[in-house]
Amino acid sequence: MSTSSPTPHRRDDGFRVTDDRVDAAVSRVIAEAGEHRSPSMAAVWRVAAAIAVILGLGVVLSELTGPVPCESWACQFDALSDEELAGMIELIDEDVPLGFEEEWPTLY
Amino acid sequence: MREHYRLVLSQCRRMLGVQEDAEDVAQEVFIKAWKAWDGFEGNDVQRRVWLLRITRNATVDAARRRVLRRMAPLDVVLEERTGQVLSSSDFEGDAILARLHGAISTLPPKQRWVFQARYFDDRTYADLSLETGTSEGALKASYHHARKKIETILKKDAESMFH
Repeated sequence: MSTSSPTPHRRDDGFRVTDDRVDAAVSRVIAEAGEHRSPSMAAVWRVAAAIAVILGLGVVLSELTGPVPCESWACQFDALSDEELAGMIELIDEDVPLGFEEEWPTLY
Repeated sequence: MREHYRLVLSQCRRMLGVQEDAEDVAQEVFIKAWKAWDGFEGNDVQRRVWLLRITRNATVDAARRRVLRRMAPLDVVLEERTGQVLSSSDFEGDAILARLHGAISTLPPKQRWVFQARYFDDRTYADLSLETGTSEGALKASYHHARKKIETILKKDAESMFH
């Protein structure tokens, strides 16, 4: 029975996913969903890919206009190293709400 | 496909703690993915990123539902979840690692996800920012809050063992 093992750059989380379990699960997925795959999804993905290309071109063009100097607070905050940020957080009273969670709603 | 499934299941397993919950969510993710599998026009790396993104959303949602259906004191939850990990047939780590998973499971789902991506997978903030559309600063703050909480939990835990 072989198991998944951590890659050199990863820390081992202790969990092992065996081949048997993966095979059984993949079979279940194929049985449940395989027959119902929608051909229209291909068209959807083509449109999505086209949008991605357009957005990519936009990013490339904005990059070509040259780097923006890192002067804003947000930019300087992004540039902090782990150590610098840890030091900064040490100085902040834990009871003071920082409001970082409020930045998340756009994530999901 | 097997390797992709293994990746999804391992991410679900770590995020959700309970083996059965993880398998249910992994299955749900893969059924969604499988329906669009052939239509996906990207390379293997892109497919992997796509799967991880679906997995992240599904596990965060599942973790939220789990938080909502159970409210209990922190030390009780910590004890219970550490026990669940240690008694799992697919866990081969030691008691300290199980305790760490127990502590991680008490974090809010998004903080948990960021912490695990940084701590176990060593992913960069730039990479996570690209995937989530969240600023690196917000991710760093989230990671540091998570780390601080875990340090506090494990420190209290260690102290209680010697008193």
